[in-house]
Amino acid sequence: MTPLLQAQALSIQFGGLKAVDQVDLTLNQGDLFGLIGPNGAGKTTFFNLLTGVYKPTSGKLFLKGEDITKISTPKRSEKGIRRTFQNIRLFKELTVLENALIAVDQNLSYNYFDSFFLTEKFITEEKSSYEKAMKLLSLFKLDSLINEKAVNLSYGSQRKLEIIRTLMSDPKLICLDEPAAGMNHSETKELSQLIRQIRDQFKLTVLLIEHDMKLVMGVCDRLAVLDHGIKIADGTPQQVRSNPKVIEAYLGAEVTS
Amino acid sequence: MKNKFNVVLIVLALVSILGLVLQFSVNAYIQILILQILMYSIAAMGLNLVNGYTGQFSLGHAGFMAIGAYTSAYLSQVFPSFLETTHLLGFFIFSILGGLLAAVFGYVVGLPSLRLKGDYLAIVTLGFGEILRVFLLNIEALGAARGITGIVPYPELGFLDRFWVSFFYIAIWFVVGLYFVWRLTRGRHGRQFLSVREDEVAALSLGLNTTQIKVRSFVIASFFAGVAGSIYAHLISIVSPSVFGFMMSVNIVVMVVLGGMGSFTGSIFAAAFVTLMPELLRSLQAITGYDLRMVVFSLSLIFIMIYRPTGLFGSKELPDFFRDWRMKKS
Repeated sequence: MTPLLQAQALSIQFGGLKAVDQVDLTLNQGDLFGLIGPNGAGKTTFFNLLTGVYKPTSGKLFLKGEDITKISTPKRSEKGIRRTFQNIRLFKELTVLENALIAVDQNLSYNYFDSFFLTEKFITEEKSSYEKAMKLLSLFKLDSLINEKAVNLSYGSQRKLEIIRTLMSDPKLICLDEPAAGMNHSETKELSQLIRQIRDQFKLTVLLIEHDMKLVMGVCDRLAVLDHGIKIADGTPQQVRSNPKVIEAYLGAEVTS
Repeated sequence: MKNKFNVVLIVLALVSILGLVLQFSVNAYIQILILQILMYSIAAMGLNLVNGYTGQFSLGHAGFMAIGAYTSAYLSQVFPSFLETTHLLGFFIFSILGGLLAAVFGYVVGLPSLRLKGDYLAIVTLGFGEILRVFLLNIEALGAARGITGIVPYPELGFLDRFWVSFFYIAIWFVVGLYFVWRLTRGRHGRQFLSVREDEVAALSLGLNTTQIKVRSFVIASFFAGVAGSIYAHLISIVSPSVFGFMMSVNIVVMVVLGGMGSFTGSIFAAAFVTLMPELLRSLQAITGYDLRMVVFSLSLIFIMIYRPTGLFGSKELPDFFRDWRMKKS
């Protein structure tokens, strides 16, 4: 079976800085994959390469065997790669419902005349995307807040809404950039259950960047560790945890005389 | 389907009756002011899509009005008999053509310049307006600095005078325009405009082609500006380059900002305010002996922006206020 996502020697260079250096990564269908590393290791840069915000200096990226290295962000999104942002990027002044609806709007096909004359097509398409949004919102227990502006939500709820937005258009792969940042212990626990649940329910592949070690170790099936743009380890949480290179990256090298 | 047909008939009847009432109740001076308010509302509602909904700052809307106005004026000079034989249909066709030509220009100007943001877009659109004005100033076939005069006005129909016909024609455009932008912004297209305003990076990550969305709203706004320009040409009977200068663009932007970014009913109110205020202040001149109109007008604008920085209506529409008010009462 071809892997869902494959990165081959992916690199990007900003001036003299190699932010991501020759990284190989393979995600299989249904993986819950964690990407960890110390601050400035190139995790978010890797995400940006994945979603097409940056173009790689060298290397290739495949989605289900198809080369997507040169495809723009919106096109990749259409092909099923959706992401959340480390610093939440919701449409702040819009309502929770609108935030969710916008995510499927480009999949709808009604035109100006349908909305002008309120045709059957307009009504059925709007209704189906409304129902879909409500289903997801109630799964995340946000359905009582649909008319609230996104900016007024609590931090945890904003994170959840961002995840809902990625789920609206039946993605193949969702990339969560530090979803637990700023959450307290119980919220984090709830989130990790939710991530597992959506993976199973929607048959997704999830790529997770996270600082919270407990969350990553608990929830992910496989991990990769980046340090200074280089992949230093890859494997199950157990393997990664005992890898001396990883310990060195996180805690510093032992002083040898 | 039958239901919708009835709605159209009711609107037509209401517009006709209102026209009749105004024909016999108010004088010609007030009549022309009402027509101007309707015309400016059409342009301002269109611009609100760009400046209010899509969050781009366009400062050259008079240019698109000029295109519509000159198209209509030129065509009615070349084919005067066409308007006589077809009555309002001819005017309608000219307005559509003026709007479409303005929309084409909107596409050509918008595609490269909407990649710019904020001030830069304002400068480019401002430049477009000025370039067009100077261009018109130098084209002899379009009357150069004189402009085009003696444009065919709206006709009389039996006992219905010129005002009624003008009112009927402009009000129909107004209602259709308002309904169009209203419906548009309550569906996926409007949500896409808003998403670009709120966060372009997030919109991109959701697969939205933000450049295309911006161009789309710009083209629609240009179309309505073109239509408003065409209405202007037949209403005032004179078009000249100096009319469609920077001040006209600023006036339309003022209508959008004053009414509230993202509120179409607000734009209509502000169009009325901006049109009526300088006229109402004429009596001040009679009392003081000085022409203080523009001083008071600009001061009142400054005060409104201090006390209501989001504009008169904010992003709410008129029906929203009624709903809030009723909810507060119960």
